[in-house]
Amino acid sequence: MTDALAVQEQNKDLKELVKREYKEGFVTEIESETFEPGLSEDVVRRISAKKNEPEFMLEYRLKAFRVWQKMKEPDWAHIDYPKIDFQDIAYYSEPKQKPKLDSLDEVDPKLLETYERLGIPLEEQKMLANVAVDAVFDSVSVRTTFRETLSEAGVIFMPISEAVQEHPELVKQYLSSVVPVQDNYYAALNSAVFSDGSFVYIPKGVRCPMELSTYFRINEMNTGQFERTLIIADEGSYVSYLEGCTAPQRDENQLHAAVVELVAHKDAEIKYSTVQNWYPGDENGKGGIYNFVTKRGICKGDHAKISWTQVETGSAITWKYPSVVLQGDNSVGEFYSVALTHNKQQADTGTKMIHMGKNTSSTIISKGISAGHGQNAYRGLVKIMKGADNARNFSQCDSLLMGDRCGAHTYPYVEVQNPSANLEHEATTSKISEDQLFYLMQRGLNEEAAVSMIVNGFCKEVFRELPMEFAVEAQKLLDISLEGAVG
Amino acid sequence: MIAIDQTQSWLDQHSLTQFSEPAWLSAQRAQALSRFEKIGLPGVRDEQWRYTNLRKLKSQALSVSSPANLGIELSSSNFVRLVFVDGHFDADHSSSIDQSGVHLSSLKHALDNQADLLETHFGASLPQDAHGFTELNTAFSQDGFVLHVAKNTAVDQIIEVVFVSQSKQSLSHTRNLIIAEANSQCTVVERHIGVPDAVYLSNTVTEVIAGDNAIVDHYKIQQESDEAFHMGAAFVKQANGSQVSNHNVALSGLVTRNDIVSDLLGGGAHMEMNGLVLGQGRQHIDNHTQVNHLVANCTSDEYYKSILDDQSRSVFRGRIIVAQDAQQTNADQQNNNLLLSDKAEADTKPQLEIYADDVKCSHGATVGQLDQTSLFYLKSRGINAGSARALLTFAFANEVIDRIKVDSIKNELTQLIAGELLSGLEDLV
Repeated sequence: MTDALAVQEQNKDLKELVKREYKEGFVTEIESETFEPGLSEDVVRRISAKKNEPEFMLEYRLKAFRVWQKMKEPDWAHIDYPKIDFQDIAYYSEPKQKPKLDSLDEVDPKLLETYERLGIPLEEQKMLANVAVDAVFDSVSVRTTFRETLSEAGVIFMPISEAVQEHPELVKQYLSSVVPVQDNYYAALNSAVFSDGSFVYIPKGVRCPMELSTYFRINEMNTGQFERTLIIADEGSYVSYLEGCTAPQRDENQLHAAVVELVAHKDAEIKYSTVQNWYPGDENGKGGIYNFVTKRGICKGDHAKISWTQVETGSAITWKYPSVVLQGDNSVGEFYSVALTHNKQQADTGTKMIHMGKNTSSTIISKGISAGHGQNAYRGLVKIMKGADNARNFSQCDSLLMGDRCGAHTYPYVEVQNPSANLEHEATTSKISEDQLFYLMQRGLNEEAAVSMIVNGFCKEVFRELPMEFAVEAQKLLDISLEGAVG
Repeated sequence: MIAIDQTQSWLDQHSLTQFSEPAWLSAQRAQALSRFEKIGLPGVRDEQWRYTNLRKLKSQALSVSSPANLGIELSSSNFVRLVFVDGHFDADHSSSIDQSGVHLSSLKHALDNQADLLETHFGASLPQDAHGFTELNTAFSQDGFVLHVAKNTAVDQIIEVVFVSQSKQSLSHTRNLIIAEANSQCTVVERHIGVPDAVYLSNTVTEVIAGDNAIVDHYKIQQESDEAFHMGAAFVKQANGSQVSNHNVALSGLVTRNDIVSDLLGGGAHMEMNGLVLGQGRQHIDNHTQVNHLVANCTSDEYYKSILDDQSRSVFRGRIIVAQDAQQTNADQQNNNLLLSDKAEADTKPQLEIYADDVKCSHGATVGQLDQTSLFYLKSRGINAGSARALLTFAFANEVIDRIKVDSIKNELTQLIAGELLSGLEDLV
C-alpha cells in the first residue's frame, strides 16, 4: 500500500502548498512622501506641480478631473465589490530620495533590494540579456536601465514624467489620442491624477534592439497607483514591451487604475505583454488590488499590427479590456489572454476589436481558469464597421472550471455591418477531463503534476505568444496560483 | 413614454372589472401595471434593448380595437384551429377538439371553467425582471388560448392557433397557456399574421408548463405585416424528464422581438430552441433566449440562424445559465448569420454564465457570407452564379427547417423559402 502512503504524502504537501504565502507580499520599509488621502482640484494641481509639469499638462489634468467629477462609476461588469471611497485614497506617493539620479549608486539601496527580491535586478550587468527595465515604485519611476544603448538606436524609453519635460511635443500629440479623457470613469480619473509610467517612442524604420519592460510595484499603504503608459511606433518600426506588477500583502484593498495607449503607424508592430500578479487577497477575499485598467491601441496606418498578450493571475478584481482599433487597411489586431481566478478573485476581462479599415483581421484567444470561489468572465466586442470590407475575426474563449464553487462566464458582443466580413466566435466551458487526468496519473504523474500539465496545455496557445523569459515565468506563476486548487 | 397614456385610455374603456374576473387575476394585473409604471417601456440604454430602438413604435398612436368579423380568408388546414382577431376570440372560425383529457379553449372561457387551474399557473412562469411589454401583457391581456393536457394523454391532433391583426393602428395583448401534465404530449403551432401594410402592435405571451416526462413541441410562425410591431415571449417551466422544443420562425414584420426563457427545474429535462430569421426590407428582428439550468443532469440545445438581405438587421442574444447545483449539464448553442447585402447588420451576443464545474457547455457564433469554395464548386458543375447562391442560401436555412417535426409545416416553410430564394433556379432546367 505504498501508493496510498504516497498519495497521503502528496496530500500533505498539497495542504502545505495551499498555505503558501504570496511571495511578493513583503513591504519595503522606506521613507516616503505620501499625499494625505483625498481628491480635489488642489490635489491635481499639487501632483502637477510636484512633477514640474508644463502648463498644458496641468490644463489637461484639470479638464480630466472636471470630466471625472461628472461621471458615474460603471456597474455593468460581472464583479462584486464594496463601493470605493475615492476620498480615502492617497493619490501620490514617492520614496524620499535625491531629486535627480545620475547613476545607480544614487538609488536608495532599499529600493534596489526590493527589486532584487522581486527578481528584477536593476544593475545592467545582472539583467537578463536584452531587456531594458523601467521600474515604477508607487507613483514614481525609480530607474530606467539601458537608456544609453536605446538612445543610440534613436529609441526613447523613459518615465512619462520625464518625457513631458523632454519631449512635450510628442506627449502633447499622442496623450489621450487613443483613450480620450472622457472614455470611461477610471480613464478620466487616471488622466487627472496619473503620476508616472513609461513612455516609448520608436522612430521610423527602427526595430527596437531589446525588449522593453516596466515593472510596477505598489508599496505604500492606502495609495492608489495610477500609471500611464504611452507607446508610439512610427512607420515600419517594431517594439516588444513587457509589463509586470506586484504589491505587498495587505488587508485593505488598493486601487490600481492605469491607462495604456499604443499607437502603431504604417507598417509598425507593437507587441505588448503583461504578467499581472498584483496581490490577489487571501483565501477569504480579504485585501488585494482592484485592477481597473483601460488599455487600447490603434493601428493608425496600413499594415500595422498590435498584439496584446496577458497573463492575469493576481488582483482581487480585474476589470480590463485591452482593445485594438483597426483603422489602417490590412492592419492586424491580436489578443491572447490567460486569466486565472482562485479563492475569491473576480475577473471581468476581454477585448474589443474595432474593424474600420479594409482587409483588417483580428484574433482573440482567451483562456479562463476558475478555481475555488473565483469568478471569471470574458467580455468582448468585435465590431465590423460599414467600410471594413473583407474583415476577418476569429475568437475562441475557453474556460476551465476547477471546483464546484467557481464560475466562468462568457459575454461576447458581435456587431457586423458589412456583408463581406467573416467572423467566428466559439466558446467552451468544461472541467478538467477525468480521462486526461486518469491517463496522466496512470503514467506515473501525481495529481498536482497532471493538473499542472493539463492546465499548461490549455494555456499553451497564449504562452507561446509571450517572450521566452516571460513564458517560463508565467508558467511558474500559474502553477503557484493554482496550488491547492486540486482535490 | 408612449403607451402609458394610450393604455391608460384603453384601461378607462375596458375597466378591469368589466370581465368580472377572479380576485387573484385582478391582483396580478394591478401588480403588473404598477410595475410597468415603474419601469416603463424599454429603451436603448437598457442593456437588453441596446440594439433595438423602439422609436418607430413609440411614435405610433395605437389603441385596442373592439371585436370584429374576420376580414381575411384563412387557408384551409387539417389542424384543430383557434382563431383570434385583433386579440379577440373568433368562435365562428375556430374548431374544437374532442378528446378526453384535452381541454382547449379561449382564456376567457377557461377563466370561467378552469379557474383553479389558471390560478395555479397564470403568471407563474414569468421572470422577476420581465420587461415592460410582458408587464403590459399581464395587465391588459384580453384573451388568448389555454391548452390543458391531462396526465398520460397524447393529443392526437396538432393544434394551430392563428392570431390575425386586421385593424389599423390596433394594439392587442394575447396571453396563452400550455399546461402539459405528467407523461402527456402535444404539438402547438402559433401563427401570427396581419393584413398587408397595416401598422399595429401584437404583444403576445405564452406560458408553457411541462410536467414530468411531458413532451411539448411549440412552433411560432411570425408573418405579420411589413409595418407591424411584434413583441412575443414564451416562458417555459420544465419538470423531470420533460422535453420541450420551441421553434421560432420570423418571416416578416417591421420590428420583432422575442424573449424565450426556459427554466429547467427537474433532472433529465431537455430544452431545444430553434430559430430562423429571414430579414428583408427594413425588418428588425431581435431574439433573446435564455436557458436556466437550475438542477443537475439537464441538457439544452439551441440553434438560431438568420439570413439578412436589404437593410434588415438581426439581433441575437442567447444566454445559458448553469446554477451551482446543476452539475452534469450539457448545453450547446449556435448562432449563424448570413449577410446578403451591404446594408444588412447582424449583432450577436451568445453568453454563458456557469457556476457549476462538471459541465459541458459551448457556444458558437458566426457572421459571414456564402462560402466561396462551395460557390465555385457549384459553378464549376455548370450552375449559374445566381442559382448557386440561392441553393447555398436555401441549404443554410434548411438546417433549421430540418429540425421541424411537423411535416406539413416543414413543407410549407420549405416551399415558402424556396419560393423566395430559388426563383433563379428555373433558368437551370
